[in-house]
Amino acid sequence: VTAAPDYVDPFVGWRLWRVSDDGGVVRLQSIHFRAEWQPGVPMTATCRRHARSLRHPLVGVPTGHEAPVMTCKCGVHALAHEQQAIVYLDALTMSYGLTSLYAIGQVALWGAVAEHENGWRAASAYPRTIDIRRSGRWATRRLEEIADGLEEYGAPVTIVDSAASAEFHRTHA
Amino acid sequence: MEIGKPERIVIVEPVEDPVRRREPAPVRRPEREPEPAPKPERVRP
Repeated sequence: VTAAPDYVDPFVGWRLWRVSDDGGVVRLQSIHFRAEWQPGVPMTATCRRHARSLRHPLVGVPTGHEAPVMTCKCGVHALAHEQQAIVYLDALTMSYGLTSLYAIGQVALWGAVAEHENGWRAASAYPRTIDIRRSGRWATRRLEEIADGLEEYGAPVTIVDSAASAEFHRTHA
Repeated sequence: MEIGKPERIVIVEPVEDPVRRREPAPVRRPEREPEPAPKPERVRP
């Protein structure tokens, strides 16, 4: 007997991606981990944490649990509001002087989902919208090429001005 | 990303496939301001 689900519609959160372009193959990448989001394929979370081994304290052993669980930080992370993602990206940019291209977008979340105060950690996720933020570093023509490459995900792709991102969404929702 | 304290785990089983293949949506671009019209040339009387 399978337990009835709590919800039958995916949750929708906001997150950031780094955008890679390998010879015209444009892909979304996770920011903090080496993980590529494939078009048409859900991102499935795995726990990458290693617990300390009691036998060999200097050797980490994989936790082995499915993601997410309450006592860990594993799962595909997403924020509750777009503005949180914008603030986070701005903070990263100011702190590290990021030179890569980044995207902000809505992401569908499903499977086991850990609800947090300001977002979620999910077992499975897929982009619903992809926004590329225009900045002076990137030529418009180049951004349009990258946006065209991102269409492979089947999610609406939008090029927005960095400063006007939130306002643009309000008027085009 | 700071998502705050965990509250609970729920199970979400979408009725529709969230990854269903959609036709590529056209890229939306913010509307650009129109180029300013060229100033009319002065004509000597």
